[in-house]
Amino acid sequence: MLFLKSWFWLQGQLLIKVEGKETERLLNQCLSRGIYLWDIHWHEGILYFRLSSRSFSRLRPLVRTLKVRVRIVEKSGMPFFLRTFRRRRMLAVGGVLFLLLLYAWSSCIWSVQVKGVGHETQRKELAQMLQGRGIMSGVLKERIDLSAVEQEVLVQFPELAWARAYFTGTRFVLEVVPKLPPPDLAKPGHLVAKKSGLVLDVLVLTGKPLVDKGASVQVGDVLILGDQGRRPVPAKGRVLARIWHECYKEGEPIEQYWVRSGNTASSRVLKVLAREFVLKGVRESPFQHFESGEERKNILRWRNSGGPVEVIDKTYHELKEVRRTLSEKECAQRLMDQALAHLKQNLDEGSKIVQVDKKVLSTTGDSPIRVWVRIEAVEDITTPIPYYPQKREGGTFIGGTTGEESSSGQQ
Amino acid sequence: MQRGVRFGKKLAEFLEIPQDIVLDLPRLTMVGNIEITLENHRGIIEYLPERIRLALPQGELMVSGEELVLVSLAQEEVVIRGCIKRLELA
Repeated sequence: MLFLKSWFWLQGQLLIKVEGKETERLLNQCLSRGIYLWDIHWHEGILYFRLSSRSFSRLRPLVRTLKVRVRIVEKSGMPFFLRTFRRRRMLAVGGVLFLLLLYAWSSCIWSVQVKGVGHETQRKELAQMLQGRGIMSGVLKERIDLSAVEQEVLVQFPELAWARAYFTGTRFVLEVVPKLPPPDLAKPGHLVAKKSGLVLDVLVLTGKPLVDKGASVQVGDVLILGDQGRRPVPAKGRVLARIWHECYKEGEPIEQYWVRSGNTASSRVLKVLAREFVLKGVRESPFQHFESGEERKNILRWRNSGGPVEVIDKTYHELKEVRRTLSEKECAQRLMDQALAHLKQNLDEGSKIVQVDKKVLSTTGDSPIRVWVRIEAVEDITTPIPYYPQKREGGTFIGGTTGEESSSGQQ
Repeated sequence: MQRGVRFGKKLAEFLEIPQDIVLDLPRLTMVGNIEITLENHRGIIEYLPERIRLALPQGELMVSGEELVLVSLAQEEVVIRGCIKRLELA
């Protein structure tokens, strides 16, 4: 059927309207004369059918003998399509010109992309280098030697391990992979406490633990010594400690916020390049306190970038201050929540809150309302410092966070 | 039944040839109630959107339904499409 239809499309087909009484006879006559008809249907009391334009000349004599009137409603197919071009030569010229331009422009590069760069400065350097080599939008693809670009990138940027340049459509892409930084050779060191607290659990992977469960440690105390069989090693491990954080807050039991009063003003601005012209409405916000919303409509939009001409609808909503007196209980609750949030913000990642104590310090009737919140958290308090030898052999006292090396010659 | 027809039928059965070829009978194929293909017909007697009457070598076939369309009209076969409700052989 598809084959047949496309064949008739190539030949040109006609949609015929038949009026009269002897429609069936017309169909039968066509049938017996071998005129192929298809898509025969009634529409609002009128019979329509399609036939190929070649058979139409054979339909003519039939119609004359019968009491019917036929009329061509629609011509479609290749010959009629081509006929429009014969009449409108410039349309054909335009089509050819379009194809030529499309071909010409698609053999240029229109954007340059650098992929896989670690930091922005390197990207800029690479982009500059590409520009220096003449790789920019509007350049013919043929003029670019991809392997030479790759070579040159690798020569000029020794920190890159691999580079590949290629085209995807009209885009030039340079893909690079930076060399991995040399592995961080672990230097020997101790683990010291960065916070004061009560040791809850000690886990040593390498090194010698200097604190036990239950010990109270101060900031700077050595927790795990970077010594293993008198050989300096990078100490590794985890020391969990209970740490208390406190926070104090006070505040008036008044809540203040802004709501829209319902008064609005709007303006329509035409923006051409960087200039703005007010087309309609107010020039500036007539309200002292307001929030504004913008809706931008791009005329002449091009891809994702905003076009040079924009229409901006601005709406200003007047804001009204609302003050509300809170109950003391509610106010205290809010302050506590704030304090708790503040405390949680300062906690390290991975720490766990074990207990929360809250207290309202002010008595009823007091203003401002004062609250106090304390949380108990379990945190890993270790932080590495560089290795320095112990002062005394076998002594647990190290003390101090300075990495000063005491002369080992004294021993 | 005519003698020739009887003989033809027997011959067709004996040789296992499809009977419609030997006896010049129409062959009707239906796809649900949406399409009918009729091979070996003798023309159109009546065509209306709700009724199509087709001439057969012997008698006629009446197709009733809604929005019936003659998708293809050729000497060998007719294809009718639409909502088919009733078939009648007379």
